[in-house]
Amino acid sequence: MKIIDNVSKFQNKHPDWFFLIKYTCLFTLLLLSIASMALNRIIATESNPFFYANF
Amino acid sequence: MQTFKFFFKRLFLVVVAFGIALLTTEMVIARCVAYPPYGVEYKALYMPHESKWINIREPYSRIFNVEGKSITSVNNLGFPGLDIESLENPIVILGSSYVEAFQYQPDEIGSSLFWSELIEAGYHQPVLNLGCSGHDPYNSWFRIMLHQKRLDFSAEDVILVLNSDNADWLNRHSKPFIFDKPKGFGRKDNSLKIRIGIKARNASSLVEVLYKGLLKGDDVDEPSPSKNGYKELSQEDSLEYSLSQDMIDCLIAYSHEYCGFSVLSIAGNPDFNSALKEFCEHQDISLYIKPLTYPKYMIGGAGHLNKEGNKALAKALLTLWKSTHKAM
Repeated sequence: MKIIDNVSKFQNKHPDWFFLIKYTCLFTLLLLSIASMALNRIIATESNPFFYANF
Repeated sequence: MQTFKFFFKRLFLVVVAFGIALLTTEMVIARCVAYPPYGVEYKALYMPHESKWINIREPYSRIFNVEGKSITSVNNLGFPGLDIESLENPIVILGSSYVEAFQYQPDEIGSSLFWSELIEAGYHQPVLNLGCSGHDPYNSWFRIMLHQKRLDFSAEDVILVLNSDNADWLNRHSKPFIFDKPKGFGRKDNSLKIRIGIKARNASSLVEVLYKGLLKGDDVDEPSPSKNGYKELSQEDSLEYSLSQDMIDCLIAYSHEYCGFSVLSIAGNPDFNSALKEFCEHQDISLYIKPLTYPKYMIGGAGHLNKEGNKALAKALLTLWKSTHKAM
């Protein structure tokens, strides 16, 4: 409860900072999830022992 | 007016937030995951008649290898293996990803172990590993020509390592084979799209991951070898097995071009090996056969050469080298 109160207080006191932090976190999560998806695809493809790169 | 100002302020904050998120994600991919950027200097046209380009790697660029669970790197010239100070009369090793061996660190791969043993024996010819993923003898012909032109060296001692009969791989090319330097050979790809792409992928690990994982897709130039890198032959096939004309053309071209040309077969196909032996004896080409495409020598029993396989490859290269240079 105390944390939520503090967050609400911060939001009321610095609405622009709160907005920036919120969107930074959201975009970071979005980019990290896309990157993990890409990385997973790379690993799945290249872990095939008969994978040969497109030279 | 107030609403307008508020909207632009928020838009600015969204753009800043996206920028910070990009930087944070880049840091995570580059530092925590340690995924390296592209590491390619440029693309060069090396098989103009088939419009095939080859990547010229930046010195010491790193490579993320899933099979070997490692991050390895290339040497000072952008090739697999140990650093090369001078390219005076090098021993060039050609082959596929079995020779390239990006699964291990540069000092642990077959060509480097072979070089170390040569140095120990008091022999100081540099060893240049020109193995490349998906390369058959025909690709390798243009690969060595390109690097000879680019790095201005001439080679006499060339060892071609064959990990299979290469039949599927050689079938990918247009016929008949042309062994001359075609028009446009070695030309850099200067198109804006490629240049921007290379710059972006070199600058950011995140861009490289997204490109390789999401955009590139499955467009790999993959031949279809059976489990041990060669096709199982029926008894009938086995009786009439002979080297393909494509392979014969390649071997003859190499033996005419390089006076110290020799062949090392690590293929586990006895029919191919005996046909190759017969041909090489007839053509007076040095050959050594050491089958290594067996589970014992392969990562996970079916992949590229494991550490033991690389040691065995080095030993086989040394044996072949000693047999062709009896003065040693």
